[in-house]
Amino acid sequence: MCVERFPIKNEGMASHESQEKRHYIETFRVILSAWPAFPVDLEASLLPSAVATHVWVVEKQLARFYTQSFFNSFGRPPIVPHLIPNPPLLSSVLGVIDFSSALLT
Amino acid sequence: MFSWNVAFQDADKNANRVRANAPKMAYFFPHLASFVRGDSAERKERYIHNWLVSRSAWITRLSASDASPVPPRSWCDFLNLIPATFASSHSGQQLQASANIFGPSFIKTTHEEPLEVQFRDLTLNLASLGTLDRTTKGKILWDLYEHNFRFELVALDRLLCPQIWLDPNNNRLDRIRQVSLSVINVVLTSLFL
Repeated sequence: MCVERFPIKNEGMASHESQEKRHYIETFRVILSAWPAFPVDLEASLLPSAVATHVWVVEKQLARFYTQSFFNSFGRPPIVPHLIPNPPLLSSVLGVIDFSSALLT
Repeated sequence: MFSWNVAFQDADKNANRVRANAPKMAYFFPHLASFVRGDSAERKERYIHNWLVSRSAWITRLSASDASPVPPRSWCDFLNLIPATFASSHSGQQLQASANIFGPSFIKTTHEEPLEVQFRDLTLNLASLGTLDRTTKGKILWDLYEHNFRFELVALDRLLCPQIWLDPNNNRLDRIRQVSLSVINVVLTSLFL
């Protein structure tokens, strides 16, 4: 069995590298674009020239569409991606975890 | 991730939106609340212990079969099993109930009581779980977020795009794999193909 490494930095959609993040958000957008009721204003591709703020707006809209679609299908909130824990930021990470658990109450 | 954590606040949570034949609440991996809300430090430690010793077996089971997501109560019953009292009648009943869901080979892993357990590229001493630093605990919880998200994304995609998945040459898993660099994608591939 291969050993899964624990990431040493945030990767994929959580990446802090703007071009890497744009690439993964665009891939996620393409996946969700096949779903029913996909928002018309998300139909345009995220081009490499997209500025970071636009990528963030698209990510937020995709996250909203994903969570709504999940709730409509399963009747509960989905488990969503998180940033990796980092010692200086750990208190905020744990805050997110507390928030997430509160969603089930 | 801020965008994701506020997304559900904006969702319309009217029960009328939920499709009529929605399945009962269930998770591919334990929900984070199980570990955060435990009513005692001892129980939280037991949950982490049982999860760490069974994590690899569960991932293997998911990858080798069509195992279904598990109701939260069943996850808690399993995570709360006390290895030293497996032979008692009460725990024996709980164990049988868990075995029915998780499979006997999965439950067997909780009997083995290894001294150490491999969690990704970390080797953890099971006797020292009570003194795990917060960063390591955070990594364990992050790992659960990551696994749950990946499997839920695939499950939802299969539900919403069944016609695409009927095509044996569809590239949905390839696309979903591209969303993350995580090696969990290996599991996803074997689970759904």
